[in-house]
Amino acid sequence: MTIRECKILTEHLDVEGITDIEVYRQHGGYQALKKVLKGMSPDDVITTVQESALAGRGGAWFNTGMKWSFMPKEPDGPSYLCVNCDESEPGTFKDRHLIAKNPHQLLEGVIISAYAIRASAAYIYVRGEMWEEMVGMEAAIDQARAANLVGENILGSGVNIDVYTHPGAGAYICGEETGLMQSLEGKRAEPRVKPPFPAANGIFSRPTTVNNVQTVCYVPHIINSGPDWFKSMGSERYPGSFIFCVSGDVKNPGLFELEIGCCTLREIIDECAGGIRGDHEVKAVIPGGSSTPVMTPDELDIVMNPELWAFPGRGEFQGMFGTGGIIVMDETRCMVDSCLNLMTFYAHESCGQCTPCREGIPWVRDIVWRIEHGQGTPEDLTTLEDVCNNVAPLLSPAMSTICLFGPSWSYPMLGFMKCFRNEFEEHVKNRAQHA
Amino acid sequence: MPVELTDETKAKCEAIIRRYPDDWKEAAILPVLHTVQKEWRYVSLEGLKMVAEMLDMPPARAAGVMSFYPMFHKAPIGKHLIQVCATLSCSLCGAKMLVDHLKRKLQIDVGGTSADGMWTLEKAECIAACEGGPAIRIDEKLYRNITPEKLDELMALHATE
Repeated sequence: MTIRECKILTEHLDVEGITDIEVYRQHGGYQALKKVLKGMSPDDVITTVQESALAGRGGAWFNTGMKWSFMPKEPDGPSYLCVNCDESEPGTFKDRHLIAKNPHQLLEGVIISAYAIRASAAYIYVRGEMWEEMVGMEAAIDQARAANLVGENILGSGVNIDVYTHPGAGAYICGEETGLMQSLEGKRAEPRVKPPFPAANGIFSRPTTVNNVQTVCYVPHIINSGPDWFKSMGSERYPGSFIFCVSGDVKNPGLFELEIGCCTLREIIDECAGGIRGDHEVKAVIPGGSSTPVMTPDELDIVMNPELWAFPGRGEFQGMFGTGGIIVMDETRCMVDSCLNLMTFYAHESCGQCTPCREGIPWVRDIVWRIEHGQGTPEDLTTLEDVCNNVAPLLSPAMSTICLFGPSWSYPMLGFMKCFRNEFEEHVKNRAQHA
Repeated sequence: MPVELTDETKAKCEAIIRRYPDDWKEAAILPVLHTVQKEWRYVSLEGLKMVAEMLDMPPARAAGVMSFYPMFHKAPIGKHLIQVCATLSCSLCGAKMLVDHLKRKLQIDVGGTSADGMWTLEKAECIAACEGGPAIRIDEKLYRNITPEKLDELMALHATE
């Protein structure tokens, strides 16, 4: 296949001074907002985005325009937009670049999206570890407010939309949309049971839409160039581009914005990221953030089109597409050790609300720790599978927790066991060597 | 131990509270706690009570919220905070080497503060800079592709602040 770079969101990231509103304007910035306020109703915007088939890039790949259409058309009070910039999934780092390098691109998308869903205010939830980036975002908002692009009576249209940032404080679960809403309300970020869905009852008990940073960034481009332009790229069901983040044992780690479905996972690793560093060979690849099950070298010729994967397109390939965070490991890496690293992460991040997760993930971490340190027993392997299957069997929609955090550790744990069971068994067999 | 916030911090907190609906003042707790912590380097019990009062919420609930979020410190920390990202991508690129270097250099364990009160060392979970592993944060600044040598230089730079 031919890798097709497709710079929609990343085109202007390296333009000098683009964080300044004037430079952003010189590169076509805020034209889409003008177009919307001059001649498009909120429903026109929703229809345009729906026709473009833009799908949520946070990992669910749900049609964005459709999601917006669930918001009340004639709200009897305030409605809200929340932008999820709590990017915390290990292996994913695109939002940091998008807001640090081109904050006005996101802001223009935020104002248009808020207009479409008739929101009176938008909150950009930025994880606390991106403090500098949040300060940059606030400077962009201040500039836009001074230019009458945010706030009251935007460009004389009679539309009022306020935009604020809201800092997180180090909790991964705030990236889950209902956890994010709890956190925005000043609570412990314990996810909510759905229904009610956010569009009916979100933050401050009002209708709310939560969108991912990358998704919102596409909106001005779709308004400017039209849904047909967007659909001319990528796959039929999931058009447009996607930003892949490659890290780990590769020569050239970084961000790569590519047409969806234009290449295989192997091509991204070998051609975009320069292949495996040193004189090594690939051993394992996590395809879309640490919550997606690990893959082996013989599986890497899968095309990076979400349609083909069990999640989200219910395709035939037994894996999860996830959020584009590709972590590559070479043949020198111990899979038990790598698995322990991730299970330690998840044990730290469980919110503690649901018993199977609060008790399950520290238990799993402790067992993997024992195996890695030469103290494991054959029964431990059975227990690991048992605990995980009681939380969420691999790639099954069944789960015993309120939110997807349960599956987000049980899938990768079961994935490591499925692909590299021999290493777990070897650790248990040759305990002395690992003590 | 400080008992009063400066007028500047108070004004900042009040401006933050205005971002949220009038009857949802407590929504401001995370940014307000960050603002208080910025002045004092931690949030004491007295500070927490002050925050709760500012937001019209019971102190116990404010404590429950604060304890959920790892970025808030309830005891004093060093003048500078070093966080080494320990999650997979950074770990593959040598994060452990940095932690070991710091433990030796500062004669402390993870979570500890150096005897001169200058440095507190923490391991962080993924800080979203995986392409630049190993990545660290010193206070609010992110640094990518760090070696022990670079770390020494950065620490010398921050120590003069």
